[in-house]
Amino acid sequence: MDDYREIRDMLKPRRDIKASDELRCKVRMVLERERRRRMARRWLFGGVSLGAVAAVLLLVLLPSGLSAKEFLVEAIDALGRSECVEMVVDVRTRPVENFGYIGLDDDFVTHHIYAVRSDSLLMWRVDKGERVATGDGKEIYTWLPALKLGMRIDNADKENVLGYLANLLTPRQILQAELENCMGNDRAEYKMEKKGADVVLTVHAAPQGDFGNPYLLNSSIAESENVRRYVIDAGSKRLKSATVSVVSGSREIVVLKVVSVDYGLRQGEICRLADGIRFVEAENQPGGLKGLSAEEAAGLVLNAFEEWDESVLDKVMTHEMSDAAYREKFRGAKLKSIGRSFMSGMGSSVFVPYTLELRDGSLLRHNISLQKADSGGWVVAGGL
Amino acid sequence: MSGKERRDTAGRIIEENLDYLVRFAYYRLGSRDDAEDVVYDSVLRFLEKSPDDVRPEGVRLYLYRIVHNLCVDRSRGGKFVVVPVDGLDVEDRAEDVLDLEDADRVNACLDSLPAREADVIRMNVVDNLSFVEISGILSIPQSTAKSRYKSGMEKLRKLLVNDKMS
Repeated sequence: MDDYREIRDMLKPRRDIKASDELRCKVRMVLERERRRRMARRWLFGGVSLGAVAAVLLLVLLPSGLSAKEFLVEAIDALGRSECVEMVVDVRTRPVENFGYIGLDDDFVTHHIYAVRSDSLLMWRVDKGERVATGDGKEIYTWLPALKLGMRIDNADKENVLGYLANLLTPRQILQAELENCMGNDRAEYKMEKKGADVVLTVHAAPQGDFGNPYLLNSSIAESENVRRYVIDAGSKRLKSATVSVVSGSREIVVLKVVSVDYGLRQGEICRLADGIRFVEAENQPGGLKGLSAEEAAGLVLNAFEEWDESVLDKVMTHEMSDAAYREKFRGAKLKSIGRSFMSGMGSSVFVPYTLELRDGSLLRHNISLQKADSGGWVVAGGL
Repeated sequence: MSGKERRDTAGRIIEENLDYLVRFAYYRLGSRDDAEDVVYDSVLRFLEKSPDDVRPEGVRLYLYRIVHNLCVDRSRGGKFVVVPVDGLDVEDRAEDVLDLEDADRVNACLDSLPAREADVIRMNVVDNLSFVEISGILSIPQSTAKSRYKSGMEKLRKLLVNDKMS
């Protein structure tokens, strides 16, 4: 090698290329997801012993000697394969926001949840007035009645549409989700207590995601330090009530409460779609802006508002959505500045701070949320 | 080592090697975004396709092979279309420019060589990969990797001497 020392010195890089925080975060999330998937699969198919995965959990044995996991498995079995349930759930959020969003300072918004499970097929409906979603196990429709606009989405994206509410559709689903969390989340403590005829399952979970930038901290249940309490009838194993609180500083703020659970109600037309709604296909999502950094893409999109340049905007959001939701508000807006991009929480969004001067002269400061589409281009995911 | 331990170790090795993999892709694609896309795709492919019994010592090699193959695929597919950006108030990207200049400087030195010789030298000098690793990534015998390295270096030495004399 020494023969070529001079040439090697010439060829040695003088700059240190490093992976970006964005890539690190994405990879960490993929690895975490993969790890959880394996853990849940192993548990469900009996591939490992209980002891192998229990080390990090606080397992309080019930008088019957059952651990949290064993109780959850029994409770899931006891619920059987058929379910018919109507729940009323109050959530601190905004009526039109995504189902996954919570706001500690927001008022409670009542959600009506209807679900019917027959064998493995679950039909459900979540309605909070200004946003509705329904699924039949194959596809999901979600719409905003005020905009008369909706979207058809593949069923695989249920958690994206509903956030934590995806776990809450039926008591069986709640227990199943907690079982999987119990197996895969090493940042949660599980505690079970027998109180009279009830079993109270308390889960104390750390926020999931990376909060080097705390922007999304406490914006969803998963992205907050939270305490989930489930009251389950010890005999029938049926869920009787539940609350979720977010721990913020020294306070514990209730952000979700199951007000009532009615079993056996047969709701007709759970999957009925509202009249007069125009549904767009989620699969027909725009291709995105390729070959740009997040800041460049954000700048291009926000600059396109001034002349409402659809050749740019149609690449980053569906034409119907930009027309119905944003055109009136943002047409003529001038981009004043954008800042450095950042990531926060557990999602794959990249946020770019911006200041827009709207037509009426007022300034809007916010963070546009961009995500990579399947095509690899940037699309707008929110923050407008 | 159990399958679970192997997978957890693989995850750690992936995270530890991210910087090196991005540099590897960057010097072949000349774009940070493309390099990071390729590395991310490679991680996904690794998790999806790699056998459960892949040994820790094989993880790094497996990853480099995927990144290398994806870089070759992208290079064959031509450059991506870049949307022009006019009048953007984007913060200073001087760091990116300096990175690109340095990669261009190194690649320009290697441009005069046959691609397969340049590839081996780039892997050895820029990416600090051993000849054992290079032979694994390119699926060639070690002796071939070494002879390509030597042949390429000799050519570069002649060019250097000519440069000094002119």
